[in-house]
Amino acid sequence: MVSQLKYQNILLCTDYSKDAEAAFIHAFDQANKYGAKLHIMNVIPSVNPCGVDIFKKPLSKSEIKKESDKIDENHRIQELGALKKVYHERCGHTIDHEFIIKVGSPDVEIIMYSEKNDIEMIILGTGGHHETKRRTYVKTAANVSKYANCQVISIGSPKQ
Amino acid sequence: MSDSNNTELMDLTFKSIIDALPCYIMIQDPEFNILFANHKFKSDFGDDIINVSCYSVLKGSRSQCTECPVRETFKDKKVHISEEIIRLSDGTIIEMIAYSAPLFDVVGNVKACIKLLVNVGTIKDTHRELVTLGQSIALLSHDIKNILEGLQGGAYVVEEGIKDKDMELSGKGWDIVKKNITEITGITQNILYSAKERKPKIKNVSPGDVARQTGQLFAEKSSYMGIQLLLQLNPKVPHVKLDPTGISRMLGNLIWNSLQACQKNTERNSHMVYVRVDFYDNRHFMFEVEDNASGMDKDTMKNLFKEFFSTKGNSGTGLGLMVVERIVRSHHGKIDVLTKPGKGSLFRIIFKLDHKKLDLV
Repeated sequence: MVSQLKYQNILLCTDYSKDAEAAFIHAFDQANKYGAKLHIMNVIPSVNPCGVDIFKKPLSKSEIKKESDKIDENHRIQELGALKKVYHERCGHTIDHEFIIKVGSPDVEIIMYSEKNDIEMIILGTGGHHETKRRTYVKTAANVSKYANCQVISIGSPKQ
Repeated sequence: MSDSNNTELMDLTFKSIIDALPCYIMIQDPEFNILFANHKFKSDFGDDIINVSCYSVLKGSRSQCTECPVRETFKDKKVHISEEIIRLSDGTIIEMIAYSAPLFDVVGNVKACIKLLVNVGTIKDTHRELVTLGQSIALLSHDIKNILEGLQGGAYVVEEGIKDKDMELSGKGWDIVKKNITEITGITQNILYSAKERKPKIKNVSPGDVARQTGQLFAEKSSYMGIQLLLQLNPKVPHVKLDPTGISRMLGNLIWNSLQACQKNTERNSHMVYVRVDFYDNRHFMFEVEDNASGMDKDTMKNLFKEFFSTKGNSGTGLGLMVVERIVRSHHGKIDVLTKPGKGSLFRIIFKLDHKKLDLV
């Protein structure tokens, strides 16, 4: 007898690209089909990943880190609003869902979140934005596929 | 001078002494609220601390500490000493020794407790450094002994080859000698880096060139180990201000770790180590060293950058990644690690592209 797959937590990673839109459609279907919770995540690069040199006036290292965190936090709140605006109505009451904004390297943040939240399936766009539009050059889909401890589906948008 | 003037003078003198003491002194009631604090305490925690609980001021906590010398003093009327970690208003964490002593009323009940906190952070740091030093000497002596034995063995094989005019045997012996020289060179360089904070010697260099030159140092070694070492360097990454010697050491340690992890991994027949230089975002670039060895488990990940933590048994000192972390820190960089047991590991080091404003020199 073939055991039936059961998913309770599905993670959709989006950067609002065409590939991410295709990934959302698939993730929504999967969450609906299995009655799973859909975690909708966008990872934004830190304003200042190395924690230095964001102001012209000389600040101590801890002050710079604090200011940098403050900027990241403000940025995070804005991005959370943007994420809800795009996906909240579309999810409606059909599926249980949650919005997450993380700041950092996308591959690292996606994998860390999936491990901490018992994610069983990660769905993300294969290519995301073209390099000129992307804010980070990290090969997210490839690294998540390789290093995540759960199923990973990367989806490319169908050709128009 | 009248008695009341004398008492007033004594009070002022005692208050001045207590305020001048370079430690925290406070008096607490049985509910742990602060009734009095000296100048040093107020200057570090603010003036609004009177009638506020000790645990909320010192720890930022809403509940009482599990271990509290003051509570013990209220219970048994004796002096208690404990070690505490407190948090200053700017977030700094300090290790303290806390003494609590009872203040009695006229009938001998404990009315309040006087608590004295002395900063022992520097002493603790020195203690840790001495422990580390002791461990390091024991560990390094063991490693150096192994390497010297290896060198003796290699020299013996070379000698036998020369004696028998067997060049093949001499060649084998020479390979052993070379391997051990590489090992001792690596250990010595890591000791030099870990022994003291070293100021980076900043030059305007191409990160790709540094990675290429470091990769070339391992080309022969990786081919001898049967591992492909592949360099993927984006030529568009511009010149930046870095300490090339430090960065080369950092990359060298990461590459050597990956090569050794690949050699140890028997689950796969073909192994690869990638060294990459590319943009991270518009203002940062990254070095990446990735392998397809056995990856790391959660425990190894947790201890990764700790001094003398090694998964290599006798063949590792545990200094390599600690040196990497130190070099990255000195360049104000960031380390990302991705790993999966059975798949491999990726170390990504992110640096700023424009270091002009950095306080590096």
